[in-house]
Amino acid sequence: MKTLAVVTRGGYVESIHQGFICVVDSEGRVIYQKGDINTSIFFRSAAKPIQIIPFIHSGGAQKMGYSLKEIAIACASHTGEVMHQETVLGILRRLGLNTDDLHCGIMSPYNHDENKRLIARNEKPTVLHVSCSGKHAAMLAYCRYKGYDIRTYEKPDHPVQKEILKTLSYFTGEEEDTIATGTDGCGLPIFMLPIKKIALSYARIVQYAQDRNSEYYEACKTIFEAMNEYPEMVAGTKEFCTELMQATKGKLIAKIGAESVYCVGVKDKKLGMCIKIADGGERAVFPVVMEMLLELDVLDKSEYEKLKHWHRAELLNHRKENVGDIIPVFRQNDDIYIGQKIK
Amino acid sequence: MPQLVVRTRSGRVESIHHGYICITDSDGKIVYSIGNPQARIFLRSSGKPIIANALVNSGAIEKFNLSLKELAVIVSSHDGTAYHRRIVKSILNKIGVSEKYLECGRKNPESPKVKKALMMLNIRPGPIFSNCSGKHAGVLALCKYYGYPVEGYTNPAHPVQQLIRSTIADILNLGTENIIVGMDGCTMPTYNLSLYQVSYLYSLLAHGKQHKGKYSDSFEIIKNAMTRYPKAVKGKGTFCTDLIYYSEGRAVGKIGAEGIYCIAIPERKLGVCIKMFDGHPRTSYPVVVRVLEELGILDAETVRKLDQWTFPKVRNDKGDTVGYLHTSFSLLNNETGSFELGDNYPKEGTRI
Repeated sequence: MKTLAVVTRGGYVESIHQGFICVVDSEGRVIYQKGDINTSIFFRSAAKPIQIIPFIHSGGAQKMGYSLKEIAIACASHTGEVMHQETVLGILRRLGLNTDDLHCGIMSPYNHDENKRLIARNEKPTVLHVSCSGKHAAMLAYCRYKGYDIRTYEKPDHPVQKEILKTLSYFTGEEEDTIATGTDGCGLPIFMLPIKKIALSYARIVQYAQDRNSEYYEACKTIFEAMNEYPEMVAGTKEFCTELMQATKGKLIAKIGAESVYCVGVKDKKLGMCIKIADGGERAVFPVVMEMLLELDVLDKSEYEKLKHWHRAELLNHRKENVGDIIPVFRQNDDIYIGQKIK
Repeated sequence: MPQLVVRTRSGRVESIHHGYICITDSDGKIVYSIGNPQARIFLRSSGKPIIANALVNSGAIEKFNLSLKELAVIVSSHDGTAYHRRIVKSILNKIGVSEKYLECGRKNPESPKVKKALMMLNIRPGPIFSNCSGKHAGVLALCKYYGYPVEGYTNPAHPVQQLIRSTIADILNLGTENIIVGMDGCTMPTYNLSLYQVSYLYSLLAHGKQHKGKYSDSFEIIKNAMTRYPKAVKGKGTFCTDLIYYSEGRAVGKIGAEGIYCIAIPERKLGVCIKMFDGHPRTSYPVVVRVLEELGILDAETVRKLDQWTFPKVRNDKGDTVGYLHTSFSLLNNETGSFELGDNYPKEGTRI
């Protein structure tokens, strides 16, 4: 575990975020690392682009009339805006299903305006506001395509989940029986894997998306295109994942997971990256991702300009004056400590 | 870095939290510590019961006839309910200063109910809703008492801020120039001190009038305000309030932003300062309870009453429990956790 970012106040280190970074190429060669990259973490929502693969690869997505936009929301942790709700609802209608068939629980939408609107109208959030509803809808669509039971799709022994595990094993090179599973926030099985293997799965998505000889060429190409054509579906307005893919226009795919997991697949370099902030602090992950994209020379000047507010995030007081910053520090070698004076 | 807490999911360690703890008696002796007691932190809102000494010691309490309940709100990070707002307004009335002079900014109240009500009515919260409005009212009381201008009272160069800074220096027996100043979220100066110094300040709050120092009477009054009116210090259903209430004043706790938590333990004349490195408050509460349990301050029954803070559950969106926050240190044995991410957590679902 290494110190990846600090939070400053008045020029002093007030808080510290530690974690892990791993970048590998599609052969699994380690390009960059911080901390022990064999450490196992839950993949959380960063796994979504992999979890959708069996559906596309089997021909199900095509057969069920899935658009790129609908593929994008299957890969999403969306913010529950109207555009997201409509997309998920459209899928359910086409399948002849209703919102009760989604077993993702209920949560208030991440999008502030939508949440405010609900409260102002005294409306309760619905399953369509749940950030994972697009993924759940895709699983239902896959059940319909295959003729599987739709009532138990979230159970670990359901064929959909078994096929996902198999695919995950293929993309990470980990044996199925060595992949521990847990329960995600939305009730679905989630997978524990070494950070290095998670990074590898993203390198493989971008590599297969460019390799016509790969059996996963179509599936990976579809995912890459969907996330890049509809980045607003993948997260939402003013969200990092969305802005990153909007700014870089086809260079990469990027996806956050809960408890500060972040994955990026860089197309031309065929690299996969996995970052985990050990304390789960989300505020630190964006500056660290940005610093890594600079380190890997992924961003050009104009792209960086559009994204720089994520790189050195300012802390403001209530008068909107700067009182500190979140600063990625992992490229420095010095040991950093609480209370240290820092520029 | 000392590991104090792990967060589990499905029996595995998903996140890890580090921190420092320092416990000092009122003679200035460190009794227990984990990590570096000399590490410097910003006091943030944990400074409120300390800086209130400037007010209580001045004669302003008597002059404006401020009550103990009002003093409890002056040292609070309140959650913005009508109960708290009424008390802040009462202070402002007594000192004859209008709400518009509050410089704490427009910030959503911490109480989810009040926040929701404001959103439903489409009302932008005024400064009185800010969790720091009590402190700001207290500082305005000092301005009025000394005849300082009420405008610009949050500026570090304002005489009232000089007074507060020199009060902290005086209590710690230091030159004012040794008290480094930063800016807090509410635009007020905040002070950069070591965990040792902060825990010592809280030991003085714990010791109160029995201590021989110059501020012992004012510390006693502040402690009494906090123990008599725990709801004023934060709000119903919050950790600070529950801790003071259920411990019956045996632990006087005050949160600060960025993972700071401070406690005065009157019966042992001890002060505690905890700093969680990642700055997230979610992990400081189980640490506080564990420390107080180990010190023999909280019995099993009280710990049970504090269960939601002591042993927080991680839930999924359906409400099922999928993990827990577990403390992984022992203060008395001077042990810290050695879990790695991904480790199996033994005895998941039980406090060990």
